[in-house]
Amino acid sequence: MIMMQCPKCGSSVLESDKFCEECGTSLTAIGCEKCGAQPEAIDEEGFCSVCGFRKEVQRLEITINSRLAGVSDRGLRHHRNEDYLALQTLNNNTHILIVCDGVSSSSNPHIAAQTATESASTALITAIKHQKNPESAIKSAVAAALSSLCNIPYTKSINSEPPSTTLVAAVVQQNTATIGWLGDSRAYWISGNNSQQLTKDHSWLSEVVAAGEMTQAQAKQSPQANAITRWLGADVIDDAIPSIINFTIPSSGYLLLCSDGLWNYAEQPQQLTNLIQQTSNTDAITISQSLIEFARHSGGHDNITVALLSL
Amino acid sequence: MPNQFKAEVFQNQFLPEDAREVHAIMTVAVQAGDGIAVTPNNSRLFGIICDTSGSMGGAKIHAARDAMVKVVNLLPEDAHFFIVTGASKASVICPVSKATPDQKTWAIAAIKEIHSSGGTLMSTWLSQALEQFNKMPNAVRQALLLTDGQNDDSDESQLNKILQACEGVFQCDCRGVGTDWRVAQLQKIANKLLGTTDIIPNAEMIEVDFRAILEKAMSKDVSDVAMRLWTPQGAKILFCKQVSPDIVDLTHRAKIVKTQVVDYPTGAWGKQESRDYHFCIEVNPGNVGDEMLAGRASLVYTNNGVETKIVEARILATWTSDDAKSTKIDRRVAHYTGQAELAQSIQEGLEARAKGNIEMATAKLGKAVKLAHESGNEATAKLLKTVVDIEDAPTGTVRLKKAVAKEDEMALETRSTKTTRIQKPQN
Repeated sequence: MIMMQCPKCGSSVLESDKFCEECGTSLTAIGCEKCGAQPEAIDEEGFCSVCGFRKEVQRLEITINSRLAGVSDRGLRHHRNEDYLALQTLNNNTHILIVCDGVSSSSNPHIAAQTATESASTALITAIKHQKNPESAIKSAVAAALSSLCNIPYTKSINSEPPSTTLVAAVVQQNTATIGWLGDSRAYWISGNNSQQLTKDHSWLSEVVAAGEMTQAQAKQSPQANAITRWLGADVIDDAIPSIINFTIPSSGYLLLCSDGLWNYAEQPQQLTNLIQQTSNTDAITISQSLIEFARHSGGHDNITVALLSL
Repeated sequence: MPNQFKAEVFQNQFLPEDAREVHAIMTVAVQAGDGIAVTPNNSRLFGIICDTSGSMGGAKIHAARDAMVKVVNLLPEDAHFFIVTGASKASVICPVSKATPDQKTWAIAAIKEIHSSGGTLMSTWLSQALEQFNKMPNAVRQALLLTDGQNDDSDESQLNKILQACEGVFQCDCRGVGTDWRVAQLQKIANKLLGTTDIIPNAEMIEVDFRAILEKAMSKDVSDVAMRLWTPQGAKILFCKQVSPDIVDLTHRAKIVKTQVVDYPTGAWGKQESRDYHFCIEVNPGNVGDEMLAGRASLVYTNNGVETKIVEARILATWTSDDAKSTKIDRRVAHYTGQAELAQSIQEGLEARAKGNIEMATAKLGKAVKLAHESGNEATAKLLKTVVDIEDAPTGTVRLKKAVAKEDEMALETRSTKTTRIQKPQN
């Protein structure tokens, strides 16, 4: 579900809408949302050849059902959204959640995140349909994502890294969540006092803390604190090995996947639990939206992506 | 090896909220190499326009004759040329001819017959040259004009009219020999005809200068190139300047191609040539997070009436609330803004000096010394030294020299628009 604005009255409309429900304007001929120019006026890069503004999807909302939903938002400080997500429920018993966060120092991180998400999603669905176990399904999804990343055209230079992204993917079957990841996009289990972080960041900070070289507080002072040590990209073909865990779902609760745009403002599982408990409506989309709003109100320094499965 | 044009844009595309001004430097370089090649134009027409008024008598006309003979001898045999001499009226002493050995011999004989007498009506010279250039409209068309004196005041409106007619038909480098000519007058002709202006202080230096001009002219092989700039609806182009190798303000030379698209003339381009341009575009501001194509600049050349786009680059604008991003100024934008300020300080300083306003002249030329020092523009710094005594270059502390040679002042005035390229950052 892609949210846009009606060029005439500014109301929220869906990309699939044919008419604006508020003012009745036909939306099929929308080219430029800023000046209303015809679709032909938009060039291949998305720029309007009349007013110059770029047509951009800044927020992506996906609702599979009341239990599975997610939102990816540009945030307040970044000029574009370099995160992406995909959700899917197969045969009513298998759920797939994927969140990618494009590495902003690489070239075209927004394309990297979208490409990796889409190809990982397709590969996961195919693997699950072929009765592969979740762990090998995730491995083949990561391999598929990597090979499509390597196909994104980019000009090599000293200053630019090839398109790169983090990835966290979950396959939930019966009472087991299998989670694979590269980088610092996370998975949490949210359930009252049993809430916990399921993934361990592939980051400089988490590695020095785990090795006992520094305390969390000391490491956070370092300029490298946010540097990730594993990611998906053409420059790390041999190191793009995901960490994988199998988590047995103990009770009812929420599986939450998110980019650092959210957890930077609420790192502790308990903080996230409190935020979710404060939400009056328990629909997955409403909770996702409220988590996004929380991160935006906290500063919105980065793109924010949330994928949520209620169990 | 065919020519290949390469363009790159340098800018800080991030703007603070509500900001409307977008600055960008576009560098264009012609390199030999593969890629989209430009069909070189092998047909070249070079015109020599030489002042033969009374004041040219003596050493000057001798030196000019010798220099012209040298130029004719140096002309490649596949090029075409003509010679116009001018005083109160102009004569075509050698009409358009191919530079064959026979034609050269014939032209040299004609050059030796040149004598100086009469006044100076430059409009008549240009009018004759125009007629010659019109004979080869598809050639690369360039001229060299040499004078030693001032154009007659009565000729002004006629000159303006003929310049209008010559614009776009040929390019012309102007040279003043001695110190009795007026810089502004020659600059007006050269600017309109996309050429350079310079002083030749002594007659014996004419030959070296002519050879350099001919060499540059013969290296040009793509003519009638325009800088085409697309801007968004409602945008205003505040300026478009060539900023390297020298400053040429093209802002008012814009020709409307169609809605939102204008062309600026850039003349002919040669092998290995590179130029930089500075664009300043005022756009309708977007919201924080909006991204805009603020301009699309391309070079377009016309050959036999067919337009070909050579190269294109994009100027972007992105509005952000992140001050760390929006407050940065691109190094190249800053550098060329400084070079433009340097040229302006020199012009204003020399004007103030001419009017006897010592205080203003000292301040402006002091600032020029400081800017030349900071940007590493050594050629301009050296010229400034002939006009002021420098006490401390980094702070721009100077004293005006009491006696300044006229040719030094004129050299500074004509060459003040020469810029340097950005220097590599020092470690």
